[in-house]
Amino acid sequence: MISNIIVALFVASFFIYLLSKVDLKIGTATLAVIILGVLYYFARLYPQVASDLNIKYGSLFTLFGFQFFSFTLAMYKWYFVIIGLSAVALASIFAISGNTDIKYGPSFNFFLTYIVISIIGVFLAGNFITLYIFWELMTWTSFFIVSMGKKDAKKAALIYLFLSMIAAYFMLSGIFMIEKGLKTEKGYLWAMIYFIIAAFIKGGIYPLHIWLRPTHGNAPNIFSSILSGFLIKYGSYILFIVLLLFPTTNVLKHYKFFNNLTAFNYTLALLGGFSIIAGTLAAIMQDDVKYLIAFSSVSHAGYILLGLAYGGTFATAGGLMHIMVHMLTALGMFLSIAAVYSVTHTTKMSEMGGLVKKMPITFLTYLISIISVAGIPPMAGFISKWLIYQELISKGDVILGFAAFFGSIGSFMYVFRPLATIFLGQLPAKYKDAKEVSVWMQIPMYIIMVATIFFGVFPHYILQVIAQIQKYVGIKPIKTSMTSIYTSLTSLSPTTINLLFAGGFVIAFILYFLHTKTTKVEQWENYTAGEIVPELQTTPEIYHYAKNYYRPFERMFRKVPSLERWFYDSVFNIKRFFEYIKGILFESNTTVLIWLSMLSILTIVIVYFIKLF
Amino acid sequence: MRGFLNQIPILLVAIPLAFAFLIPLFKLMSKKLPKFIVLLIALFNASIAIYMALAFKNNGLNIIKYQIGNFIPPFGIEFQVTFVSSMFLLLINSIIFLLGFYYIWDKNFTVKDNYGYAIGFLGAIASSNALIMSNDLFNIFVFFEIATISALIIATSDRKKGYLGSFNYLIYTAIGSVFLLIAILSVYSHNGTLYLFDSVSLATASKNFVLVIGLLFFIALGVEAKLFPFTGWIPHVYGGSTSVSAMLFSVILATSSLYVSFKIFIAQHLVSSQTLFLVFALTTLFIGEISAYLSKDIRVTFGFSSMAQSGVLFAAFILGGNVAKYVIPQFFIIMLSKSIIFFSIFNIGEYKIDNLNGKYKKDLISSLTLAVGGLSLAGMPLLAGFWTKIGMLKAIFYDNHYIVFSIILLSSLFEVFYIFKILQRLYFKNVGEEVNLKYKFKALSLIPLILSLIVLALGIYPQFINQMFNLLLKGGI
Repeated sequence: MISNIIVALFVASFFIYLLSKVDLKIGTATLAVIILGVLYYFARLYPQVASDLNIKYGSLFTLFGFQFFSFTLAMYKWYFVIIGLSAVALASIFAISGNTDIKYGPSFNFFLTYIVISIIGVFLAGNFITLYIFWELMTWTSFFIVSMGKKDAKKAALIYLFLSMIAAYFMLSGIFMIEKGLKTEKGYLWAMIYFIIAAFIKGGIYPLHIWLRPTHGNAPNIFSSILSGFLIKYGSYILFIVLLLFPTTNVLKHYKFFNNLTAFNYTLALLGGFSIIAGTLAAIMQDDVKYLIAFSSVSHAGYILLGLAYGGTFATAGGLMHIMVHMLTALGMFLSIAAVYSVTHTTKMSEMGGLVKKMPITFLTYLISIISVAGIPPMAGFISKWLIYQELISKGDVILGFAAFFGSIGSFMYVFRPLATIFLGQLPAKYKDAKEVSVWMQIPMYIIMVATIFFGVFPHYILQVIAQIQKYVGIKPIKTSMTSIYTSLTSLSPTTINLLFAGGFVIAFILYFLHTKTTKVEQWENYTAGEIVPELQTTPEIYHYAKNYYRPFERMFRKVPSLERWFYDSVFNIKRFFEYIKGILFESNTTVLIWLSMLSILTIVIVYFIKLF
Repeated sequence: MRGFLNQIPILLVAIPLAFAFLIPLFKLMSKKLPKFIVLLIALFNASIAIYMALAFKNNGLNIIKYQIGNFIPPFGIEFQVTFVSSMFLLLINSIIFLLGFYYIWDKNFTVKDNYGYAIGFLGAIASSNALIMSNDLFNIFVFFEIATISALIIATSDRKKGYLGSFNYLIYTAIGSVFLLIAILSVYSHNGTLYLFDSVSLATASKNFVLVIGLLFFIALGVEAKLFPFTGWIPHVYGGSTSVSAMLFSVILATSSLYVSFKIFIAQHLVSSQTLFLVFALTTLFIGEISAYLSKDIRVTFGFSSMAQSGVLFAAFILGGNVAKYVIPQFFIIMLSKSIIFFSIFNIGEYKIDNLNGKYKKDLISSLTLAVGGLSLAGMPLLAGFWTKIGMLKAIFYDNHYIVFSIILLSSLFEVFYIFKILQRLYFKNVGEEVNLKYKFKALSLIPLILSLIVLALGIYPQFINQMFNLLLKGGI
């Protein structure tokens, strides 16, 4: 059945391309309908998945000793597939009227179909080789989509491709090692390390996150949301396989280290913590909002890694839930930014401001998403982070606890910056006539808002699924009821919290209405007190308070060496070295080559006479 | 029936060679005639190759042996065709046939001396066929010389100015033929026979002797098979090449000389020092890929790429064991993909990578086929190249050649990079620049289309590769 769906999508991709060529809106709408249909199909499988541990679909054919295209379905796969398809479905609904800024609309839809295929293929793959095929399919199709983006997109896409291929090849090595059969613990360790490197690159985890900023920043806006919202979760899936499905704690038992964790797991958890801090700090310093969200993805990938690597009921539940939460928040943030971009055609924060009155729905989506990012109730982000904290606190892990809390508090700083500078403050004159985006773009935003709040208020629905996954991989499942989550330290009732928050909101609302009305003043009349000094070549933009928003903070961290710069420098140097070699071998004078050849003749002849007789 | 089949192989060589000498006469009749003669002969050769390949498949033949007048070498010529070589003959001759259309109708193809070129072309056809079939060393030498001369004519005719490339090539091949002669003499002095596959071989000789002979053959055939360090001519020859010349160099001559080197190495058990040849092969691979990655001209890029492919095939061949089984399927797919790439490039007609800038509209079909060929060469999933590449990599890994495995992966990183870079430049224009092109259908774009349909079909139905693969294993090389 799965192969049929894939083949059908494969055929549909051409159809969608042609349809989009005729009318882009209809083509995109068809794509959205198809994705929703596939999503519906998988959603309906839930009872079957819940009752049966492993649904097998059999493989299409065997070649070179590998079973290609064999698919299975279990709860954890179902979870990932549903999240992935929802992300693409939401983005494609948004794209119906939101893909106007994409120059190659039909091709975009064409490749997006392949992204859907790869999501189904990767997460339902019954063996590693099938997973690898769809993994690579995603790499090269998303490469072309990223190339469609902004000015530097081509370069960004190549960086993305290069690192993705490194990831793919590491994974291929790991796959071969496992398929060949591992006998020693050391062999396992190496295979795991290969997988982890692939997961780190694909998941955008520090220190292999280098591609994230240029790629997210320059990709088409809608695709950035998919990339950040779901495609980096491919890395999380590999982490899940390595850390929970194998799992490393059992396989590498001789590397026991701390808190019943293996050294391997603990190192990863530490790297996760490091990723949280590094991503947060880097995000604070960005002026381009898309770069900012890209770095926030680094930090959130760190949370997922931390949760999965740390093990235990609550951390894994938190990590798994964070996969979904980050999908929602990243989509929420990127789509709202895409909506803003469709109006302002810029992503530089210092060029915007005061859009809240013009685009209230977009603002609200962004607001709810960032509240979720910062882990504040009643949003879903609170629950997942809270679960991770539970584990860290109960184990008394100070270092990682610090990292996790740092990321939460730091995220206030970076998510607040776009809020304040894009939506609040003063509206630049050029956006006087800005309007809220069309209804097709609003629908996914509404859905994201509702889902973020819903899973924050009733996390039971998602934790129930996660509990089944935990049961599947042999971890003690998390206990929840409709209104509460029970942990070793305490029990949490999200519903009560939500009611309290709602009560607070109601009171605030009443106070707002009771308060005297404010008088409105047109803002451009008294901008910079009417004083713009032309001699100093000043423009209203440099008075914008978004300019150098966190200057003092940036000054604090300015001396920290940049990994990205180091990477580019070393790539440049390697390239120069290669050019030097090539110059010697192919572009220098012919005589050199002749002499080289003569020398080789002489050597052979000498060898011939010495060795022969 | 058998009798007829046994007489066929010589036609593949004799007819092109005979007509090569008659070209001056045809020229007297009409100036355009030589080109059509070439196409006709290519058609004739292709049909014979198809006939032979079908005979092998349907009749369950194992081998066709042909000897001119029952003379033993060096007085006569002995040809030997197995299923594998019949498939290679099929591939080469079909591609030559398709190339014939470019030879006549490609507008970008202009050479100074048209009928000289026709002679070179026919010589290349005859010699590459002969090299694949030949079963005696002396004839390998003879046809190697013919191939060299033809290649030299081709390389020289392409030049508008400056003969550095062809001069370079001349030096290399001249040295190569001397080496070949020494090697053949030595083999003859040991074996007492010029037959390639015979009851005696160098298997019984001392190890050092075999090593030196192996090196001599390696150097001699390395020029045309594009093995490092005999590749200095590549950027110069490919730099200004036309469609036909690039194809002849990268597909036809490279295939035949690589194939003949495989044949010699197998027949005479020349792989005495695996490490030494592996170092050469892997250096070829790596240097080829990084040079391709650094090149700014598409033709040169794929010239270097084809050098790298020779390296990887040679490395896999040297490794032997399970890996060697994957050489032939990989060889096939690479040659197919590369033909698609070169055909497409010359249809698009824009050679500087930086100038591509979204000019896919120049030739829509060829742009698409370039993508198919390129992705297949890079080994991307769901295309034919993926299956053979993954099979080969698996075999290399399973035979514990981890260093080779990592070097191949490392170099294919660069390969993927430049192929995707070219495709990206071709399809996406720079932001802010306008490209106004009107698509005009070119009949020649149907040629890469046919080949890429084959690649696509093999990608979707890879079991066919497997079936072929099992058949191929039966006959020997």
